[in-house]
Amino acid sequence: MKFLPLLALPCLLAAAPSLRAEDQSPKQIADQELPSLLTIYKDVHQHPELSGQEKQTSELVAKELKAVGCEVTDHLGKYSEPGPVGYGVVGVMKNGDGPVVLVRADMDALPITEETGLPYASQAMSKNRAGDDVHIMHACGHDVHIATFIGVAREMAKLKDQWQGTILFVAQPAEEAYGGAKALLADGLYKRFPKPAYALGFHDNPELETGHIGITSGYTYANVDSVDVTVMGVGGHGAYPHKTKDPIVLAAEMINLWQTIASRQNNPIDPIVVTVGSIHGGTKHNIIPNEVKMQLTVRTYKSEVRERVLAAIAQMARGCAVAGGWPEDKMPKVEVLKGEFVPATYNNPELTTRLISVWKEALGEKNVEMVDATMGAEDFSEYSLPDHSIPAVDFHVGAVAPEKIAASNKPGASPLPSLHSSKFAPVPEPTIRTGVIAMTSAVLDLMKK
Amino acid sequence: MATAPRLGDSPALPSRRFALACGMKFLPLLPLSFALALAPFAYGETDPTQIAGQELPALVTLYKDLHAHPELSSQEEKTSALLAKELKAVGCEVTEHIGKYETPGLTGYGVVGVMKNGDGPTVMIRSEMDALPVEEETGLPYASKATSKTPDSKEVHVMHACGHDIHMAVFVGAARALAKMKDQWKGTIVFVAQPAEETGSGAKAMLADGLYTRFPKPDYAIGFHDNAEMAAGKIGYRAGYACANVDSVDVTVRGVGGHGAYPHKTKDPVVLAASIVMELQTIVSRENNPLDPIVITVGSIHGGTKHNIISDEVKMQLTVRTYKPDVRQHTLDAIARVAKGMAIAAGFPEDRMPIVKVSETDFTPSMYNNPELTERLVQDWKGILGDNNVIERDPTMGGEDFSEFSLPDHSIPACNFWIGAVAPEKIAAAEKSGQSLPSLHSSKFAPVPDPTIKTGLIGVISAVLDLMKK
Repeated sequence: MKFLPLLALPCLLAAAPSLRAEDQSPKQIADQELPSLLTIYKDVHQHPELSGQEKQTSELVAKELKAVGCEVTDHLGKYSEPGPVGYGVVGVMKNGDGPVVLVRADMDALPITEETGLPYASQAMSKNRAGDDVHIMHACGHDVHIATFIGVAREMAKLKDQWQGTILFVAQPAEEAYGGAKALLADGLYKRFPKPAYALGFHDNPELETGHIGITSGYTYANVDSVDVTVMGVGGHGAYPHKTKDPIVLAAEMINLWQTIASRQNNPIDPIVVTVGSIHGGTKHNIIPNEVKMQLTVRTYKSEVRERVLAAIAQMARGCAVAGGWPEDKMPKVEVLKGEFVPATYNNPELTTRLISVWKEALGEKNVEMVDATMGAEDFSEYSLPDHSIPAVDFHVGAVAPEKIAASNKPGASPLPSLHSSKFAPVPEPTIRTGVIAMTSAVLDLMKK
Repeated sequence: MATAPRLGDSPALPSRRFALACGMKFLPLLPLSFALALAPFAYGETDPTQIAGQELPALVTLYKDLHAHPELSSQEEKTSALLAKELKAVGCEVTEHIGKYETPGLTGYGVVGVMKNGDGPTVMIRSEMDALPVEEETGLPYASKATSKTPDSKEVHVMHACGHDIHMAVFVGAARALAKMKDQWKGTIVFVAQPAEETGSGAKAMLADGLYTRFPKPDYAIGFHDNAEMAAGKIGYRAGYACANVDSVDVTVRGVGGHGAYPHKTKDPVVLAASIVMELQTIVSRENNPLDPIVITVGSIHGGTKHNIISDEVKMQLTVRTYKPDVRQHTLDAIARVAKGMAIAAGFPEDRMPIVKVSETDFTPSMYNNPELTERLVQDWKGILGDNNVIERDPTMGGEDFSEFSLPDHSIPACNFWIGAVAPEKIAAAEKSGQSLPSLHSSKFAPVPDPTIKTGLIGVISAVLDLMKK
């Protein structure tokens, strides 16, 4: 950029802000940084690490945040269970008085064998929690998030004359397991570092075309509860059912009755999901077992709906057992796993409306789409706190080539690979570029001078 | 029948014991006076009760030896060798290693002893030999400490928890006694020591190996089983169907898996399996004639790996119990229909319909006790044991592959009777406390050897003497 001062002089009055290096637009900086960010992306993609094992990834992020002038703290995260190491990284970028804004990316990958056939496909392996060797892949696109996150940090460092306040760059471990966001908060994220006035997050989207961003106002991801149900019975010989209390029939009765939580008890306007993901009981044809175990995932948005659904699951389990004439000491055990709860993600409506205008300005009207909420989960919600007192927005970044979307819409075509698919392959350049521009423009708006 | 004076081994009848000890030479004198009152029996001095009492001490020793050395199904090497030796010792023509299993790699340890005694009917007497993978908890001095490997190489404890050791003691006792009583019967007795009853495969394997072609085909087949609810000293019987047809059915409920948060993008096999389990109940309650007993038990259900993944598949294992062939067929057809129907109702695609597989090899036919034969033996037993000690019992939905020996068309009249195995005071105590007695296959099942073996022996000998009398 050394010739710039010469050129700038004649134009100074006509176009003053755009001609100084630090006055470049987020778009221009994104284009300059893209080759370097792409190198980072491919490096991270080839070296994925499982939840709680993000050693190299966190070192890379810490190095990059230091390089742009952040005060960096690493090894953050206190988990509620033994095993995962706290590899969280926080970079604080200070720029005078002003609001504190949190920008978050997640770092962990998944135990999946990559089948994209890409030249930079992962061949990495590691040991999972059970001690088995597993292949690892960034099948949820956290590698895209890391590259975007570093791009935003570089932009904000270059654009310091356009904003004021403090940016809290949070590189979160263990989004896929163990509760990384919770672990960072438990380790004092909001006490040891400035507490944010706003929290921003983003996720690549396997159904949205590149160049677009997607946004939902209000609830966008669900409350997730894991529920273990142990159905006890009185086992015996399969030929003498009258001498037993058959826990398999009782379990089947419960599964059927639980369907009426969604269909009959719930206000149809409030989305809920009760899924029995796993059912295991018995050893062979002719023995009625003593026990059946079920594992449920329960998805809701509103906290009062969550309370009602969880209560209904327990009440119906007990009711079925009472109806079946079960003895009091063999009532089913319904355990809601407190440690596995992930709260719903609530995009603050005012903040969302504000950012939609910012993005339409930065990316063009047609490139900002309203998208449906999902019953999936995202622990980004933790940063907003249980009472949503910190306004937060988590937005989607399109990751699919438009022609692939068109092809998948043809009759009989196979669906696009979803997140967590071994074939998920975001198109890196436009995805990272759009993410950097969207996040940078959002932060600039919230912190503008 | 006025049979009270002949009950038990009353000390009031010393002359009979003496007669037996003297080689039965006074026999022709006594029967004359009893013949009219005690028909159809005419043993004279050597009645089955006396004989059983004589044999008993040696049989109890044999029983305890067998009990302490149990062997799993299809592994009955030492047990079968012992029985072969015993049958040879009493003059049988013995053939060993009989049994062709459908499962490859299994050894047939069946034993057949043929005892010939001139022209007359052929009667088959059967005992099973195998024990169970159960760790004995009876605390008896002769409790089993044996271990063995299952077919899938698991090290397990082994126990005669079904009382086949009792059966073998009775079986050997019958062979010994009937060898001594050859002057009272004529014809051919085929002693069949059957392996692998617990796996439902031993009887079939022996028939497949030519039991009815290489050896005399029986006119009658007699079997017996100890009973964990009946007092020792009693015999139980049931005319007609006594044990059920047993079918094993595997149901694979297929779905279209996915994320637990997006049920609308999946076809959930767990919910379909649950619907199928509930709808199966209506085969019993709504489709079946209430007078025809049936059981459909889903003994095992397995699907999925964790809370938030909707799996592609749920596997269920069913046992299906019926008596009549047409009821069996209807029930099996209905299971397949219900599975498919529930899948159609839920909109599952044609290529993901549930797979319902009825195992051909695991089928055990229902046991049909020929009513005329049963009634005849009941009269024999009542004559010896007294009316109170011969009890009609409910049929059960349990399975027993003794049924195979009657052939599918029941053309060989067969009778399998029960032998009480529980001390009467234990039954009284259980009734008082409300606690149930240890069942067959329980690690605590401990038959009272002496009276159980003795009563079994009386039951078998009296049946044979009647069916084969001179």
